[in-house]
Amino acid sequence: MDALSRVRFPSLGTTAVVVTADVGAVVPAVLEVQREVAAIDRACSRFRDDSDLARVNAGSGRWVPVGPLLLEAVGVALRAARLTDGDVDPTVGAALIGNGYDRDFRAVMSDGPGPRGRVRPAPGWRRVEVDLEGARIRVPAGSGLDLGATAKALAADRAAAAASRSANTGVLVSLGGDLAVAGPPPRGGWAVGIGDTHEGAADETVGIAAGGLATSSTTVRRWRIDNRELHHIVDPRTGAPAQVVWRTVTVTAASCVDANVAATASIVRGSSAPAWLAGLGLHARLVTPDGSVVRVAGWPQGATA
Amino acid sequence: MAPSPHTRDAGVRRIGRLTRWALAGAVGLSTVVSFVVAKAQTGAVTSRGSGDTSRAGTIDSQASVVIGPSTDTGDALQPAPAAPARQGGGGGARAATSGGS
Repeated sequence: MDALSRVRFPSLGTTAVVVTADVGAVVPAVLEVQREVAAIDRACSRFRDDSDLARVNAGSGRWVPVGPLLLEAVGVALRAARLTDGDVDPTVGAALIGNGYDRDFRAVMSDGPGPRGRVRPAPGWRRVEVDLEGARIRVPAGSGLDLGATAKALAADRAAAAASRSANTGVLVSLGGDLAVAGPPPRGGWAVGIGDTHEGAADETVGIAAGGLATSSTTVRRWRIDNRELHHIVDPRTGAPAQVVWRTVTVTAASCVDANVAATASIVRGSSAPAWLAGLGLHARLVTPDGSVVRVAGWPQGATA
Repeated sequence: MAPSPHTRDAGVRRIGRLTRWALAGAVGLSTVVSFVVAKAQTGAVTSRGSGDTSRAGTIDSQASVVIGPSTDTGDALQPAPAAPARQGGGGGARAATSGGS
């Protein structure tokens, strides 16, 4: 395997990792990644009062002018909703708040979750209106968008492409375990560990050469409220955390966005997820709460870390 | 007093005209309703803030939503060009780890 250059830094409430196949190219690659991530954060964060998304949510029921990046991000989120039959729905913002996830997760952990509100189904992605010509968005009154299932992955895709162009080399970008690669891969591909958390031990290692890889897990971002343990992946149809059929799902796809959408939808979809993934030809690894592994569409058997 | 044949014929003609107008109106209204329903079902009518209807960008086929060409890149989630390859041990060689965050 080629010598790789690797930099880690805090980003988007998690850890970013930038890896280049050319050791001398890591600095311009990191600068490009930081620029892209900062732009996504300004546009799409639910936890910054000055973000475009926060203004849209605060102005629910009214048209709110937004920048081009949030227009793109919301378009990506609506496409995700359409392609998953609503399993991944950006209108779960109010449901997350109702479940106590009302601030940056570090604040939820340090200060405790917010008060549990009435848990209701998400109003539904079909009620989101986007006016591209007028650069404005309207969400149903009393609702809010959350782009957690797509914005970080979109940032990874955009950052990897921009960094590879800028540094003129192969680049891997990981934002909290949502990975995108661009440009020529190192010999043998990019070796990626797969685990329940992106900072814990890996259970397996696989190599990818193009596209994206993402993992959704119910073992992280968990909290207790009213003596009930909750996690962050909400079933839009109920507004409550999805029933845990899979503790962790990892998917590779042509982009990190598609990988993450498929992984999150699989958590929500539950027992029908393997057949759905196989039908789409998406390579996937699903882990049950007891640790049993289901491999789909050619995910390598028995690869070990 | 009984109406004269002339008056009766004029009344019949008036009723005929009214019937034709009513039929034409019904057909016209039906056409308009059908058009609106067809457009709504394909998502081609896009609600704008001021209540006007206009077309902007590519319209998502199942929602009252406008989605630009740059954001809607296909009708299905796209698989990776190849399945991930099995890698041996050697955690130090890993570029990154994917897991929940």
